[in-house]
This record gives sequence, structure tokens and C-alpha cells, in this order.
Amino acid sequence: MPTRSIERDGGRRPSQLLSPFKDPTTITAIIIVVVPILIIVLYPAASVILRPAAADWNTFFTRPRYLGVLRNSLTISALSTVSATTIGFCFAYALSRPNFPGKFFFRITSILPLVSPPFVAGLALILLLGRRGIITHSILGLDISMYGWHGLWLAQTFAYYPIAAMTLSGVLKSLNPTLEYAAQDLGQSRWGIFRTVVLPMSVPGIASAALLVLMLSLSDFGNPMVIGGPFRVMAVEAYMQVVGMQNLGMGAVVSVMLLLPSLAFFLLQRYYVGRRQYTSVTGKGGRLDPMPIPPAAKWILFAVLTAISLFVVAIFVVIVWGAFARTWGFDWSLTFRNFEFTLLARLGHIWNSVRFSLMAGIGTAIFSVIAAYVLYRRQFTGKRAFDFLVVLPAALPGTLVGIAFIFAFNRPPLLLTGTATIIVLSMAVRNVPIGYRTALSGLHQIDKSIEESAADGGANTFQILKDITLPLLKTAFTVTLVYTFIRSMNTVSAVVFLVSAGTNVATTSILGLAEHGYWGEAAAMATILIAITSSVVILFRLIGGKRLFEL
Amino acid sequence: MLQETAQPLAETTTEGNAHVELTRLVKHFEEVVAVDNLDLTIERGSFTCLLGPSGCGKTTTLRMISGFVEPTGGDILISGRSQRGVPPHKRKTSIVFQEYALFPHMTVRQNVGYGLKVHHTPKAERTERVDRILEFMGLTSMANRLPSMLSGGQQQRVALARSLVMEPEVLLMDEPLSNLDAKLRVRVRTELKEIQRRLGITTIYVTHDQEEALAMSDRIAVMDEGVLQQYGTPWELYFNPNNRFVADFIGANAFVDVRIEELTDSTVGLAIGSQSIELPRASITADIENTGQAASLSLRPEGIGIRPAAEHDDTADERRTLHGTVRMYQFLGAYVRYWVAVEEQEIIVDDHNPKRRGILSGKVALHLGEWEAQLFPATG
Repeated sequence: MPTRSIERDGGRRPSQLLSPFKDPTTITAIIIVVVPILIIVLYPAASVILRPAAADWNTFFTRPRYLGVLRNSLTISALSTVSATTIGFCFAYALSRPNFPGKFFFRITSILPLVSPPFVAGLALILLLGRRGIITHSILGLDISMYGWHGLWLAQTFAYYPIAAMTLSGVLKSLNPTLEYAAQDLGQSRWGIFRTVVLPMSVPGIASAALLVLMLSLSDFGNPMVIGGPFRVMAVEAYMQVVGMQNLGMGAVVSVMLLLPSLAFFLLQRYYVGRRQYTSVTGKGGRLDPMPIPPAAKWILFAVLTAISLFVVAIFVVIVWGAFARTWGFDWSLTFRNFEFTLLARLGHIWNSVRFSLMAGIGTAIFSVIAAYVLYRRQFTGKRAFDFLVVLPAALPGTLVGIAFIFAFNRPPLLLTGTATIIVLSMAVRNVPIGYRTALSGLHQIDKSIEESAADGGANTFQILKDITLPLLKTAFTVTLVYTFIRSMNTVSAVVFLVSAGTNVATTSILGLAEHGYWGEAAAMATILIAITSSVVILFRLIGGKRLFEL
Repeated sequence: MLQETAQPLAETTTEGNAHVELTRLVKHFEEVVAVDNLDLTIERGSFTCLLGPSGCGKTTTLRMISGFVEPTGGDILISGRSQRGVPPHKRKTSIVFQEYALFPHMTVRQNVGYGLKVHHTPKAERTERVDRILEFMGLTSMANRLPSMLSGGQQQRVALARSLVMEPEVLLMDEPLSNLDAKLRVRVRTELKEIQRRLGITTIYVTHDQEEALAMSDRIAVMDEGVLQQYGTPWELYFNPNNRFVADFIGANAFVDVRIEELTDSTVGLAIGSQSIELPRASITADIENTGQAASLSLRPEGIGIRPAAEHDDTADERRTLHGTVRMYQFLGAYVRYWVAVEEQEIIVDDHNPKRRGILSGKVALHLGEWEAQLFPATG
């Protein structure tokens, strides 16, 4: 998602630069936004960073094992980033062209992974290509293991290419097609146009998408847990230290070492890549259609995308099939047993997921809209710091958030460990940046004069907010709500540290089942989860909501 | 015709040397007919405008000439050779887009040199040609800047330089000035015309701005709804429009409903309500044959004299005079524009010498000039 730069507005109305203390509503709003962020983001982050003893740091940097895990994490996320971004670019490029066949199908296959937990890819790979995999074992009679870096690479590639596709789709659509025609007019070949115009102009977008995938795959916990096997990454290492060995200090070190690269990528994205987008001048009059792909390239691309899409379809087919198969790999007869067991024993976990995600969605939406409002409309000292603070959670790996919450909220007055609140908060905090950006772009659509004319009529800040701005922000509000709901339904890396017997959620429940080899029940539960999230997305589309995942 | 004797000779047009010929050119976009049976001959070295409102087919025509849009029917000849199936880059045309389409990731020099590089022009020659055109266009000092660091007018010149460096036979321009502000537009159009004149390059220029077309063109093709309305010199179009559309589109104008009262070899008598006037027979364009027929009289504001009714004396040519009442006026500095009610219709009159009588009001007498009126068949 494009980052709105605040300076753009800052320069426009210098006369309004005022101390926040002049308007009581503004100062109240700032307090409403800043205080929670201090408590929910900065305080926990500080407590995790300050937690480890010097000895813990020493251990991390002197034992080759830990550095090996760090290297594993960086290597696998780099590999996954390259493959996922490449595939994402192919999807985005093909879908941006008028003459590409099967667009509807390809759109579906690149949205599916977005509405399901990322580790579904890992789960399905085991069922497809694992030791008892339907392709490897049942069809080809091979005995190979998917556990390890290669399985993880494959799983992350399929889990994250849709994110890259979504980001790049926006970039490629914003490229002015006339540039390609200009190049053609000057004698350039089709391949030459791609090489010298389309590709160089997409570079900032590609970098942006790659950094996003890099951050996601680096902090991925579900796939390494399900399919990583002996290949240990940082997120899993932190979990093992904290939950397995109760070594909180070491857990803190590992999660901080996970934070550093993530933070670096975040800053790179925000301050370097984000500023380099080639925004095309929107010309008046009849624009030329995007240039069609030449036939040869079209069919090669079509073959590649079809292969990938069929694999995605296979992933979801195999999950549903696995949910109905009696014993995967041995007894293929169909049964409702897996669902019965799941519903009997784990219905509560699903209900918790829905409940918590809904609360997180509502909370995030309200908070984001207020934060965006405060920032967009008002000029005050420290505005940039404020903006940074609100988007900062995007840089925090889930693992770090989970561990930080344990540290921060385990004693009165903030004794929250084991409660639903801490889970809802962990879900909400990670979606605030997205909600905030959505609300901000919503606000950019509101003509300032609407508000000014209301202010002219004597309305104060609060009345304007209530009567004019909020109704106009409804779209941003609902989009954030639904988006946060879906992401929270699928999240695992933070909540895995925070769930207790009474507050367990569907994703961690599935991971537990998969860990113990209960593939059927894990698949059944994943099927239910996917059914819920995709119903919400479809419902949201049907009632006329904006596209959540645009391609 | 009389008008043409007064017309200045176009400087650059080489008569009778067809360069681009459109023959029965047709373009359909599904159901919509964008260009309908267009015949047009464009002379070598001339500056030709395709003029019309948006959606009239002018841009589609230009894109067919450039090769980006395949015609549904008809043909395009450049130097007598059919362009059917010839891709854009094999045509001896080069296009300057409305939005310039400069490559934002390349410097001015790289943008201008792009086409030469694509054609594998040797580096030394490339540098020399790029330098020459940059110099010619006054862009040398900004050669290493990115397009985003240039003003709109400068970007426009880079786009033009990028086309000109290819030494095309035919330069195509698609509303190249429409993204500039009004003042700059007038300056750049003067520059553009000067460049075109110096290079003598055949130029086809699309615009919806009639003033721009009048100022720059050797010839103008006025289009509406895909159909060519008139093709002629600016002078012809202004003073001798073929039809009501052209008269309406070019210049300010008022249309008055009239009835034909009398037709002689040299004159035509008209009734406007209870008033009647007489005009030269040459004012009639077409299709007016019968007395009693309803018609539409087109009047140019600058071609009508206005004076207070009190000053009107009966010795003046009554057959050229209409009586009305000032309904509204605007003082525009150089002239005063009046909206005068004549028999419940409205006539626009410009008084180019406002200081003589001050602002007029109440009853006025309008004196029609000899040539500034045209008669068209009534519409509807």
C-alpha cells in the first residue's frame, strides 16, 4: 500500500501550524491516540528490548547455533522474496494487460491465499508432496520429506506471492500506457518496451513489494512450524525459547534480532523506496488502452500462471479433501469424523477466533479513523513523530509483539496475560498501520472546503468530526474492520504466545493439531476457517463494499 | 470567390504536392462510428489542424495515421504509399502526445536520444544529432535533468525534440498544448509554429481550440461526430463556413431565425419577425432555393455596427438595419459586447470603439456589414 507522505500537506497550510494546546479537542484527540500507542506499542517494545541480560546477548553472538538460525531466517526470506515477487510481478503484469485470457480465474487464485492463514500452504504441501503426500507417495511412489528449507521456500512462495501481486498490480496500473506507445512510435520492439520502459518504471514498485514480502516471510511463524522441520528460523526459535524452555531472556534476544532486520526493511521501504514511485501525470482526454502483450509472451506467461494457479487450487482442494479423508495417505474413504471431532472439542477455539477478530476489527477501525483524522486535519509540532508512531507496528514481527506483550502485561495494573483482552490488543495493534493508511486516503478524498464551510457555520471540531468527517469515513471504517477481521482470523505468530486454555484460537489450534500429526482434524479446522473468512469477503463484496483485495 | 482575393497567401504550402492522403477512412469502435468516410489530402510541408469538439474523431484519425489504431476501412497514403498493416515504428511519422509521455526515469538527453538508440544509430552521430536538436529547442542547459524537474512548457519542448530528432516526414501532435496554462499556451504555440516553419515539416495537429487552429494552421479540417465538416484555410472557415456547425464552432456567433422573402440574382431578402433586411446572394451557402423558406442567419459580433436608436437616420441603408433593445453588456476593455434583443431573438454585437459613445442602453439600431453574415438552412 502506498505510504502517504505528510509533508505534502504540511507545506500547504503553514499558517495553520499551531500549538496543539490551543484547541482542546485536538489535544484530547492526540492524547486518545498517543497514549494507547505508548502503552501498547512502545512500552512493550521497550520492555522486550531491555529485558535480556548481557549474558543472553553474549550467548546469542557466541553460539554458532543462534547465528545459524539468524542466517537461516535471512536466507529463506530472501529466497521466498525473490520467488514470490517474481511470480507476483507475472500475475500483476498479465492482469494489467487487456488481452490476457482467463483473468477472472487468475484473480481468484491470487486472492485465495490472502483470505486463508499463510501456513495453509505449508499444511497442503505436506499433504501433497510430503512423505504420505498424494503426489509424491500415492502417485509417484516416492518417499521424500518436505520438511526443511525447500518445503518452507515453496510454502512461503505460495503464501506470499499474492501480496506482491496486489502491491505490483497497483503500480503497474498506474503506469501511463502512453509511454509504451511513445516508445513504440520511436521504433522500439515489444520486448524492448518491456525492458526499457515497463521494467525500469516498475523498479520502485518491485522494491516496495519485495520489502513487504521480505518482512512477512522473515516474521512468518506458521509455515516454519508446520513444514520447516529441522530448518530452524528465528520466529520458531523465539517460540521454543519462551514456551518450550521458559528462557525469556533468550527469547527476548531472538525476537529483538528478528526486529532489527524487519525495522531496517521497514525504514528502507518508508524513506527510500516509497518516495521513488513514478507517478504518472494524469492527462486529460482519451487515453490509449494498455498495450496488449504480444502472442508469444502471452502464451508463455499464460502457461506459467496456469501452472501456479493450478497448484494453488490443488492446495485448497487438498485441504478440503484432507478434511474429509479418514486417514491421509492410507485410507482415502470419506468421513465426517474429522469435522465431528473438531466441532466437539474445538468449536470454542473457532468461536474465540471470530469473537476476538471482530473486537479487534472494530477497535482498529475506530482507532485508525481517529488517528488519521487527527493527523490529516491538524498541524502541530511533532506531527511527523506522531505519524511514524502510528505506522510503526507494521515493522514489528508478530513474534516480537507476542513476547513483548507477555513482558509488559504480566503484573498489575496491567495484568492481562491469559485474558481475551491481550489477544484482541495484539491483533488490533498490528492492523492499525493499514487501517490508518486506509482512513488517510479516505480523508484525502474529502474536500477541505466541506469542513471549512461547516466551521464557518459555527460548528466546533467535535461537531464537524461527527456530522461531516465521520460519515464520509464510513468506507475506510468498514474496509479496516473487515480487513482486520480477516487478518486476525488468520494470525498466529503473536497470539501463539498469548493464548491460554480458555482463550485458544483456531490458528494456534490448527498448528497444535498439525504438530502432532492430526492432519485430518487440522485440515477440517482450516477448512472451517477458510469458509468463514471467504464468506465474509464474499458477503462484503455482495453488500457493495469496495474490493478488499484488488488486482 | 471574392473573399479569397483578400486572403493572404499561405507561406509554406506547396500547392498540389500531396503528402498524406486519407481515403474513405472509417473507424468503428464496436457500435460507435468514430470516423466516417474521411477524405483528406494534406500537402507537403503544410501545417494542418484537425479541429472539433471532443469525441469528433480527430484524435482517432491522428492515431490511425500514427498506426496505433487500425482503420476499419479506407486507407492512409504517405507519399503515395499505403500504410495498411505498417506498424507505427515503420511509418515515417512521429507523434507528440498530449501528456508528452516523457520517460520519467530518463534524463532529457536520454529521452531525446531514445529513438536513435533504438535504431542503433552510432554513438557519435547520436550525440551530435541530440546536441543539435537540444540546441535548436533551447534545451541544452537542462539536458541532464529528469522530466519531473522541468516546467510544463519545457517538457513539451522535450517531447517535441524527441520526435524531431528522428527526422520524421510527418509530425503528428495530439493537443500538445492542452496541459499548459493559458498564457504559456499562446507563447508555445508561437514557438511551435515558428519551428515548424523553419523545418518545413508536414505537421498534423489535433486540437479542440479554434483560436489555436486559426493561429497556427495553413489548413483546418473541422470534424464533428466522425464526419469532416469543412476543410479549408482559416480564412475560408471563418468567413465562409460551409455549414452551421462550422460557423458555430469557429468564432463567436449568434444565430437568428429568419424567413426568406425574396431571392434575386444578387440579393436575398429576409424577414426577422416584422423587420426585413437584404443581404448579398453570396451569403447563402447551400440548399436555400425558395422564398418563404425558414433559415438561420449567422452573424459575427464584430461585423455589426451599433448606435443609439436616436442617432439612426432614415438616410442610412434601411435594408441593412435591425432595430432592437440592449438586454445586457460586458465591458471587455478592447470592446464592449452587447446582447441585443431583436424581435425576441438575441444578437451579439461587439463595439470595438467604446469610448466614442460610452456604454449604450435602451433602443439601438444594428447595421449589418456586407460579408459578415451567412445564411444556413433552418435546423430541425
